[in-house]
Amino acid sequence: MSSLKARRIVSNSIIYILLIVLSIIWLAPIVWLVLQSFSGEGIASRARFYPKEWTIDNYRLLFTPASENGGPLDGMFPTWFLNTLIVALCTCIISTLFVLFTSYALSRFRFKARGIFMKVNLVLGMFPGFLSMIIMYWVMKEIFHLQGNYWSLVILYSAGSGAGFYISKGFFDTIAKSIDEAAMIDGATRNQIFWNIILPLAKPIVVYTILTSFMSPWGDYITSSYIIGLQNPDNWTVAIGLYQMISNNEYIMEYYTQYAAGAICIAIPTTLLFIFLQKYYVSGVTGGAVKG
Amino acid sequence: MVDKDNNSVSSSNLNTNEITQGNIVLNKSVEPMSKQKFYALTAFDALKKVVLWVVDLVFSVFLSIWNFIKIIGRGIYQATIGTFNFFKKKYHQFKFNDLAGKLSFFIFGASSFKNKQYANGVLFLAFEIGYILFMILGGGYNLYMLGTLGVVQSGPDPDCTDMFCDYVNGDNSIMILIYGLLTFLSLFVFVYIWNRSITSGYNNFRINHFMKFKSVFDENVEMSKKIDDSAKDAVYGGKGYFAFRKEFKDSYLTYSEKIPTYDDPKENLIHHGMCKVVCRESITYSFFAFKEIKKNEEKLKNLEEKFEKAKLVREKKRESIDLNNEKTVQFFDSNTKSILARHNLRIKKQKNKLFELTKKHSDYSSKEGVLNASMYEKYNDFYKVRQEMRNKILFYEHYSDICDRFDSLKDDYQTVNENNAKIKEELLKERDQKIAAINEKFDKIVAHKTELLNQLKEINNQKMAEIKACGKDPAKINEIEDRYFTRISQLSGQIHGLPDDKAIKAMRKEELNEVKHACARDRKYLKTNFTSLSYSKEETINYLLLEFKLDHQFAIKAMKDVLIVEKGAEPRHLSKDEVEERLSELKGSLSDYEEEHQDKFVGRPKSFKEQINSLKNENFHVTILSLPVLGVVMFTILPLMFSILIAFTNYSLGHQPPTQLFTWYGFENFITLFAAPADSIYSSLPGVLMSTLGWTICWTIFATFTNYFLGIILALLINKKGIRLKKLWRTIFIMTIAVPQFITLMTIGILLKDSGAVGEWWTQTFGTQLGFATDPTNGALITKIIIIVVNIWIGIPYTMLSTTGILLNIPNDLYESAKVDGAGTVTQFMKITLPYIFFVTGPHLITTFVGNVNNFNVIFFLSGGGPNMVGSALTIGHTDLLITFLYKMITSANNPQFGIASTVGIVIFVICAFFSIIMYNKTGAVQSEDQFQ
Repeated sequence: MSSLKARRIVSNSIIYILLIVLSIIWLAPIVWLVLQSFSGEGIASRARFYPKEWTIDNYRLLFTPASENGGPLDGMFPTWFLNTLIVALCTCIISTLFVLFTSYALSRFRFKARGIFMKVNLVLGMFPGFLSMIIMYWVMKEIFHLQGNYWSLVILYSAGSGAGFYISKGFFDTIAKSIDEAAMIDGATRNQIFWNIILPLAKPIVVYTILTSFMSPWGDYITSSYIIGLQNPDNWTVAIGLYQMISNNEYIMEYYTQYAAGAICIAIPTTLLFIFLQKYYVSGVTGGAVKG
Repeated sequence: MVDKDNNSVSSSNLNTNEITQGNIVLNKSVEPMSKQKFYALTAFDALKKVVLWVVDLVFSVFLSIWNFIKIIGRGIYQATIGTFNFFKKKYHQFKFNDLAGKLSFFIFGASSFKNKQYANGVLFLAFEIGYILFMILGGGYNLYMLGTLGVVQSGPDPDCTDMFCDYVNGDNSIMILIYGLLTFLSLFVFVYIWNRSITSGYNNFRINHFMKFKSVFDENVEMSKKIDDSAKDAVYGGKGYFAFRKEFKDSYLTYSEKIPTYDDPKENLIHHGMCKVVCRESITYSFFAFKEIKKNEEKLKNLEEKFEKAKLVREKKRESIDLNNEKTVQFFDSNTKSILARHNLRIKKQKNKLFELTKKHSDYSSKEGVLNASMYEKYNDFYKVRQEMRNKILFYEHYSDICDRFDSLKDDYQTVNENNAKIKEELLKERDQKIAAINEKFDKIVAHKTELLNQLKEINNQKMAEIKACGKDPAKINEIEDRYFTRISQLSGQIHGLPDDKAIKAMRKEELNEVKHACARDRKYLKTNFTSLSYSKEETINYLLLEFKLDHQFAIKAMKDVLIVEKGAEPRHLSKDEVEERLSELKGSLSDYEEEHQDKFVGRPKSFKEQINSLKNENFHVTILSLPVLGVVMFTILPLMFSILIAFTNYSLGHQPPTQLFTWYGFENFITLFAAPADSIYSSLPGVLMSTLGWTICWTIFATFTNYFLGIILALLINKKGIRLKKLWRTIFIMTIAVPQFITLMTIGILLKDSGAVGEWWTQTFGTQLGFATDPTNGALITKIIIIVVNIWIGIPYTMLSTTGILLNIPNDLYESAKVDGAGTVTQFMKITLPYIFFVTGPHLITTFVGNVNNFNVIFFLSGGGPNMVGSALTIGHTDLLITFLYKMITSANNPQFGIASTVGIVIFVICAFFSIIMYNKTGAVQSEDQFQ
């Protein structure tokens, strides 16, 4: 008995050590970024693990309006942040509804086009999504006249979002059909069943869908940079702005530490969301994945 | 259901065990095997396994290709047959139709107008007129221009000879492509709406002449049954399809002679024509369905034979092992069990499949007749109308009773109010009592638990004190420990038997809530604010419901007749004469109605309002799917089609709209990409493509599997029993999901570059530069390795999270039974945990795989594709994936190559499809989804 106990203690302490080491590795880049955001040395601090001068000027500069002889990106961050927030919120609402609608319909109804839709969707997923941007650029420019405008991003992100129904459909499949049938016997219409009975039961997947559909526009660079373009910084999203700050050789000297501060600013909301909604995320993912 | 993959995993695991185990037996009983021989055998076995695995993989690759070809072939075949059948059906619908139905072929919605579905008719007609106008005004031109993609070049007017020419805005090739293809696809929409118009006309015709069709349905049922029987005979008799068809034609002729000839030639046509159609359809269907069933039956037979064989083999083998060695026997038996279980599983699967096939077939053979008839039954209004009339008669017959009842209730309302108030208070009291009882119950449990804990503590203290007292004599310590052992284990067992604090809290809350809700619900239905009128009304309605079994809506309506409220007059009941008058009128109309519709069918196509209402109920999926599907079609499918078309144009530098034209280019782009001639500027492109392709595949495999397995391991570590702060660990690892990827990846990119902290540190310690993403000679390999490692950093938490949930969901009794069987931790892990995780996440692996092929973020933000390849026409790096390769070609400012980029997109699709099909075959992910529900 005692040897068993000893063995368990040894194995557990090994696991603890492993977990602590891994945690350090996992947090190190993020901590480093936080430290950089408080650095007063500018670009020189990127070669060090911790800054020598400490300041909160980076955050202050990020939110002060542009002065006359300041750099081209001064004071743009609040605009970008607002743009991104509008895009992400609108996308989040529309695509959450689309995904839930699609997955409920595919889970509960058997209709003619169902099989075809699901098969086509499987094939669609194998094409690189960016391929369609060649055309969408022109469609946004010539047909919708929205090129360079962030509303075009809302359309692009949310319109096709119904295709991402797999996980939530899996979750709806786990909710017993007898619940629907019982409600139907009581005289509820399908409409009422969906809103009043199924959605409350599917709370984890609703939260999961909201989270994921908020996160993807929040951190997207590839689509937004191509559709919005680099001409007018007023229309940029945070991703474009931050990427420009450090990839463009003109800007990196001046804005490197501000990049770090800005990155922290946009990481905070999503981190808080994740920490508080972790429970739902896990049960949503699992419930949905069980059925593939 | 267990998929193939984990079968192979567990079996391979079993085999290795078997060999070592067998070796031990040999060592003990017969003669010691030499070490060399043992190693040789093991090595040979391992080699055999590897070879088998490779052969299996190659085989499944070929199988996948074959399946792919088969799917495409079947698709083409079905499309052809489908088109043919479509027009045949249209012909049939034209032939057996009334004038309005026939008109619907040319004037959309003609039949809808005739059947008073005006809104439908207007929509149909508006669509037709609108579409024709569109085609005349612009559509035809769009289609015409699609052939050349524009002819007028932007620039100075070519016709003018002046010095100062006007600037001409030329054609925009890409918009021509977009509008052209949209117009072309709109033709399909037109055909679809046309079909809808015809179908609704045909359905209306059928509903209006339901009774005639009903007899046809009955005939068809008989026909289908006959066809079924003869098809079965033919299939099991081993006849070919054409022989069967020929033979059946004769018997059909004799059968159709039995159908009576009707006086009306039109009716004759309906009966004989419908029969013919049904025959044609179901001959083909039945024959092939039975063939399929037969095939599957044979498969089942084979499987069962195999099962018997395996049983025999195992039994024989059992005789050869050392029966005295208990462990060996146990191991052998459990092995046998699992092998046989696997066989059983396959048999069960096959049986399921067979059952589904048979069911599907029997559904079909009854479809044309019975189901069709019941489908039209829902358009029948007869029973509804008759029941309504009967209800009214019943009501008026008992009118005086009902009125008496109504009047007698006038004065009771006060007592009822008082009573209800009393009951309400009692309910409250009862609730409080219940709450107190629940609280007491749980308090007791908590108290009990703390008491047990205290006892345990005390005993432990006692034990420790005694151990201290006896010095360091090990024998005594052991004796003391033994003495306390039972008591301690008993106590701790009791404590473990109780739910933990959190669970107690949750249970208490749940029970309390239940009581509270029940009380609130009961109180809600006890009204205390009755007036005289409202009370008598409510009670009378109840009386109508209970005594006469009338429905609620009718009862509410009827109350208007019980107490007639007119302006300027006292509320009154109907007089006797009035009631008599109404009664006789109703009875008359009822008998008229019954006489008029002796066939008990009043068919009526659904009105527009009913159709709209059905969108909330049985057609709810149309409502909720319309927008998302429209979005997917307009913003995903159509753009992809355009992009694929662009692969066949020369849209690139020098051919860029809006100022320049591009045109169709055939397969030129594919040739450039795969086999560019040596003297062209793109001569290096095939080489670049191949190296990028190789790295893409390598990356995808590494990224997918490292993340998958390491994630599972991490989840196991965190979820191991006895590890505390689980939530904290999880939260730490979630940080990489929570912080947007582009931030973390860019940050790590900065860190690792030579100017970054890690790069700088590397240079100082090792004296050479790390060369991440920059050094073209030595940096490529190191960059690749770093990228895969960083991807582990970013990807593991996803797997960890989903696996965590799955681990919690594994049924506990699996482990318990394994423990009883004597399985150790490792065996449990290999035989229960891993297979379970595979089973659940197997299908998900395919999605991850495809996602990794298209993983833009990791490459783009980390290395940007660098270090760059030297001497390439396009600036492509060593770590570029196909997707970043594509991105660079599209966004390149000085050499954009849209045509070639689209071609690369098609290549990506082919790769994804290829691997997906292989994985589908390997994991057996094609699971019938209905089996889960």
